[in-house]
Amino acid sequence: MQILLIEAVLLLLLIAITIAIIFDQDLFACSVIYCAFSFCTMLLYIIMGAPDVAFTEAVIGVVSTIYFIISIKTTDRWCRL
Amino acid sequence: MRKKIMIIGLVGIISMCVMAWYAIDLLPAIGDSQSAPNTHISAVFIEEGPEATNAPNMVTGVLADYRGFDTLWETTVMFLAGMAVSLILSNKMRRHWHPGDFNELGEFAGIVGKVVMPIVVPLVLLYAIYVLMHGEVSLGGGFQAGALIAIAFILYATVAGMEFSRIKFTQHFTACMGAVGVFIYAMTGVIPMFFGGKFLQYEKLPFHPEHVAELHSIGILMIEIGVTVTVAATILIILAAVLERKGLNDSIK
Amino acid sequence: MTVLNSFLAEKGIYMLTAILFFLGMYGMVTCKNYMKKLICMNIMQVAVIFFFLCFGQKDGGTIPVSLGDLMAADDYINPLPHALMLTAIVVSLGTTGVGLALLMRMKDKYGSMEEDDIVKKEDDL
Repeated sequence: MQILLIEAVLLLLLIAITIAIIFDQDLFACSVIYCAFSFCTMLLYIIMGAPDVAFTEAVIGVVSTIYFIISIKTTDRWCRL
Repeated sequence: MRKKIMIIGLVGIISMCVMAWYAIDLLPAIGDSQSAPNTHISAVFIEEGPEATNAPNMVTGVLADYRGFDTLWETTVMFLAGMAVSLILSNKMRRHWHPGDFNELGEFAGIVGKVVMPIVVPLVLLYAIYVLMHGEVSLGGGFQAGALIAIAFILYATVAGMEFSRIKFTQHFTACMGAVGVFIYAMTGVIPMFFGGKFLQYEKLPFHPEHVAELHSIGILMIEIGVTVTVAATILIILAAVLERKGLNDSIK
Repeated sequence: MTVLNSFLAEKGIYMLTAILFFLGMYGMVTCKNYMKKLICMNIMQVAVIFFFLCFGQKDGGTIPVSLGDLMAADDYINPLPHALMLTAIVVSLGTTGVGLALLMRMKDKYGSMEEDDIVKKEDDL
């Protein structure tokens, strides 16, 4: 059963993306990386057999990225590490 | 100071991971079909659910029929979140935002705005309606359809430049639509009470299809319409509240 | 291969989920920018949702849409965690919206989203 192996690889990818978000100074880049994070999560949900949850995550991930980006437009883009 | 916090945090998460390593032994192995979460009530949902709720998609059956009362308050929570955002960001100097805020630079002008978007947006809306109507048969449901409708509006307003000034989604309009969605959901629950049923008992709805089981499909469709309206309105009210505030400065003295 | 699989099923996946959760917590504690704290909160939420969905998995089970000829409980993945987590994901969107609205009020009042600046201004007042 190779499903668990694929899940482990995708979880490692999620951990790498989280580290990239924590050590990034550009909030705009953080938001776009967060969109990539939510799509990796969607892949993970599909592989573990939850297509309904994956569909929701795909749609909601896009909408939260839009929220982050429009609030960055009205506030600061750069942050101190 | 900064390094001290980082070192303390690192020590904290490493010690918590070590504790988790020993605590995980208590959990069931993944894929074990005889573990506690997979036996007692779940077997009933799987074996009797598709016939009892007339919904082949068991997730929608559990969400909208067995746990319908739970989903009612989830929908209310979404509506309240939208209202809270509208209240937090309200001020007297509000102005209506216009899509020119997004294409001041003219980056989106041209073929994308004029040609591609009028093709893409109706397709997204059609897909949203398909997802809503087939919620109990295949994948999808009210939450996804509402978010898809909101995404279609966002695409049209930001990229294409909203030329129909008639469909202007102000905070007032979207707040009313969210309330309408919660009302549809709650009334679907209240109507059976006039015909001798209980709250959200779909068998007592005043329709007369060929089979009694189809009343479940009608009830699920009605509450999913309510969920769709509320979720779409909530996403749009948060967007409108943030955008209408843009560029204003009323710092609290 | 079977050794690796049984290790992943009993410990590996849960451990990676725990690491993801604690990394999100680390980001919330150490990052000084409030928007980054919000993103890290969302990451923590994903870890919790994934942990919940792990309980529903079954070996050899298919997705929870009824096929007609399969009726046994062991043939389908458990639909209950899916229904619970579907609403949790949608409510997380509302949480993010309220958090961003509070963030914008903060930016209006203090002129910054950094925790150090805000603490300094509060001391000056």
